[in-house]
Amino acid sequence: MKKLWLHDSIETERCTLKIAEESDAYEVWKLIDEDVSYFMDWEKWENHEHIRQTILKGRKRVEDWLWWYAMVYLKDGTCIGRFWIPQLYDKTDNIEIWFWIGKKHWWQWYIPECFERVKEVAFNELWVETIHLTVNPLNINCKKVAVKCWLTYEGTLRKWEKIKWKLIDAEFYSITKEDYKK
Amino acid sequence: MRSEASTPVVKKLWLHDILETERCIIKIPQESEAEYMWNLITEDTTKYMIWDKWDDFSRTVKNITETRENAQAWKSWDAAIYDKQTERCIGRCGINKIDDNVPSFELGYWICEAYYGKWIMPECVKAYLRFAFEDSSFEKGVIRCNSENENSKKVALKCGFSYEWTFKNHERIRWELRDTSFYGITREEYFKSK
Repeated sequence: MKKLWLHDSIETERCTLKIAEESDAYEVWKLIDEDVSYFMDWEKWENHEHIRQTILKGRKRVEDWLWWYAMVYLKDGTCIGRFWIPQLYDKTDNIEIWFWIGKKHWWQWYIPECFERVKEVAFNELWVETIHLTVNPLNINCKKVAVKCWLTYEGTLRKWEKIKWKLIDAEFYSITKEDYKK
Repeated sequence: MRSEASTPVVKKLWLHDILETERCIIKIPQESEAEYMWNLITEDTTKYMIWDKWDDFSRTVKNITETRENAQAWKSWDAAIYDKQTERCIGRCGINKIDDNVPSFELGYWICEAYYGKWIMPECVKAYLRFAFEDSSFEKGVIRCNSENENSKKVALKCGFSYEWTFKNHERIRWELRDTSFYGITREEYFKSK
């Protein structure tokens, strides 16, 4: 089974997904504002040192086959967001994808473009059977990505997690390999 | 008993705690019961589970040792069910996943074939719900079961859980991909249904 490694990259028409470098920390930090982190369980980081540490941890996790913490870069090398893809063990048939993108790059459909390419890689090269997304019901943009990428709404788990002191539900969207091939 | 409006305090279950129902005692098993428990596990009881009937009871001993360690650390409280009349173990029913942040829990269970159809499991699940929502301050309970396991779904519905979603191709059971159905009950729903 193919696995994604530290120096692998996934190309789309306008973007490249690859593992972040330590030197990206400042650029990534500049991308995260209150709107970007609004639906996430982490706050805006105070300085780019936190990001640098996260990137280092991310690279370690890729080495340990835990996650493929890819950054999204435009073709000119500008970093615009982040994509998480779990590494696949022999018994893993389904993966959950997470992502975020800097506000100034919203509405340009970079995420659906990357998601489509990740679907291709996951279903054709990594032998994944199902990809799913967990979406905050208030996160309209994320729902739009799910729908645009042909994911089906599967249901809502009530009181799924506590984010910034509030209990929130989670909507689940998924696509199976069978549906993808259709 | 804690009212809905009082300050949340997450009461926990520990190694020597006991839950009681009309017909059963629920408590953490001991290693000395491993062989008896191993004999209860048949092909039918494990039909919808990711684990097979274990080859020898040494794996049941290992499982009970882990269960006791996890109960001591509040990682899980995966207890055994005992028939009050015979004082013998008849199955398992426990909290497998605890999220202290929400706080929420997930229940898992199985019962030996001799006790099928006696509605023992809803009785046990209700004991857990009483503990979680009345004695403790859990916000949410989840039961997940193989989508083809109709009996397990009936237990969830009988205890006031509602269907939430189905995770397609969730796990492999004997090499075959199976869907998993998720059922949930919130604190508000529990008190409304009382």
